[in-house]
Amino acid sequence: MAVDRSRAGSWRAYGSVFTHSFSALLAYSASVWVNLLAMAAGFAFTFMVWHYALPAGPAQAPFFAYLALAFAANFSLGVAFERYVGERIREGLIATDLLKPVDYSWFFFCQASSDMVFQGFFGLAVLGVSFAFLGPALLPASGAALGLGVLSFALAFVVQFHLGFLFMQMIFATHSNYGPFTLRMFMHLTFSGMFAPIDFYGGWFGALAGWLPFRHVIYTPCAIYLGRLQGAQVGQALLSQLVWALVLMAVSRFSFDVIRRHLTIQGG
Amino acid sequence: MRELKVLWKAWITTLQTRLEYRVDLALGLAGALGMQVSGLCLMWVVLTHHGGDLAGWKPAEIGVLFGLTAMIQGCSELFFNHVWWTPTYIVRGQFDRLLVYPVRALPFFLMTCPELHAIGNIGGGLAVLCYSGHLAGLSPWGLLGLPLWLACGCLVHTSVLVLASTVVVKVKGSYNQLFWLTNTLLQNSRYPLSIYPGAVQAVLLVLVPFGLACFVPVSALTGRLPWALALGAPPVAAAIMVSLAWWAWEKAFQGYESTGS
Repeated sequence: MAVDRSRAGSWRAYGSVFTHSFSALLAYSASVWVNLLAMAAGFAFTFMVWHYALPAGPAQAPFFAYLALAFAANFSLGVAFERYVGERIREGLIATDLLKPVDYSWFFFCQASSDMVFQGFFGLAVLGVSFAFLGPALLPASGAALGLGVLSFALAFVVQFHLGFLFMQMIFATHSNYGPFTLRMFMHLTFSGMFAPIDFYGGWFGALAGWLPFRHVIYTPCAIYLGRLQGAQVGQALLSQLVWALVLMAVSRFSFDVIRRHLTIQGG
Repeated sequence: MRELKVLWKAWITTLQTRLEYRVDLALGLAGALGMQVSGLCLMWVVLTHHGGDLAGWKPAEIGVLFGLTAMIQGCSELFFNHVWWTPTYIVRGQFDRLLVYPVRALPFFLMTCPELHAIGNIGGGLAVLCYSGHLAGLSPWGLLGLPLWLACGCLVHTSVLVLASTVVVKVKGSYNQLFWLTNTLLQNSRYPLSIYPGAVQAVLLVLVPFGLACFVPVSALTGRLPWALALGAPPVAAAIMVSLAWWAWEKAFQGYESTGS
């Protein structure tokens, strides 16, 4: 399917997507609260398991600060468009999306950005509550750690978005969203460092996680902010994150151009 | 009997539609097995940091617990997965047509969207359970209770999901995390309940009784609880939860107002 990209650089259009998506989210803030509480209740089990398993001592507070930050980051950076796209493909409505005179990936990027900003407020609320329990352990290791941590969170969003966009493209081939979603969730939950810092795993598992981009979504920004990564490690992690962000962006845009041409529109 | 035949035919038919998406099936199976590997890795890290056991449970015994919970989730996904679509159907008004079918709506609805990556959870869970059971030196005769525990666990899990769906019927919106919370509660039942605080143990044994369906049977298998409890408690929990869920479902749809167009 040929797409008119002549207006693909129309930033006003993308800005409009962002503001309208944000307005739509405001209408459903109650459901975001319920979802946040449900996720927090689920994640509390991770806290309880580690609370039992970790020996009491000075290492506990930094570890739980990492878990709290990881939860807030995971909630804020959550993207899940597989179900939406899967249904649009099955019902043939994807045709109307692709005919819009905007770049499809930027369109989704703006929508996901509004989600991230909106969910970010809730993530900050989580950190506020966590601070009441964990205290200074949740503060950044230094001013530089704060600045570089924020930069890393921004890069984490780019990595997360393009990973999601890549997995979403599988639906164009499978015509069903379950498989790609399950596969992405498995890789995200396993290798992002959501349930424990990657450096906790060690061995082959740590090495494998080091080769994949998923750690840059949760582990890298949290570890930089809290000072788990220091000195040259910070520069290396940020560089690796930037390279992954650029590579994923290039690959996801290229593969989308390819897979779109093989799309069969369903319905009628 | 006639209704059972209808349900069976509906299930088989929708199963065939799912088989149409073969690449999706392969990806889903890989994802489901991967999720289990992921859970095992986390468990391994937790055990490593706690000196090799949890609350007196050896790794192989926890593996049996892990396998049983994975199989329960798989059975629920294979037979009663449609409940996950409730938020979408409510928002779009797609329940109207279901409610006028000449069958009881709840079982028909639940059974008409089997999810095939469930086979990954069932197969993977069985493999972990058998291997861990062998390492733990459990008697193979003990596994004769497995079908009962699976059926009861699956019914308890589905009932909790149905209860979550009744919230969505009443308070319209995209409350998918309530469903994920149910899965999280089940998945965390793969750790011995005794590592959790007393209040959480009470929740998992009484309010959301995954503990009765998983922890109690495996405790009996490993000689920690009497067999009578392992054979009696899961059916009682399943019967109570199914009754409660069905009643809540019927109540939720009283005064149901369709949305969408």
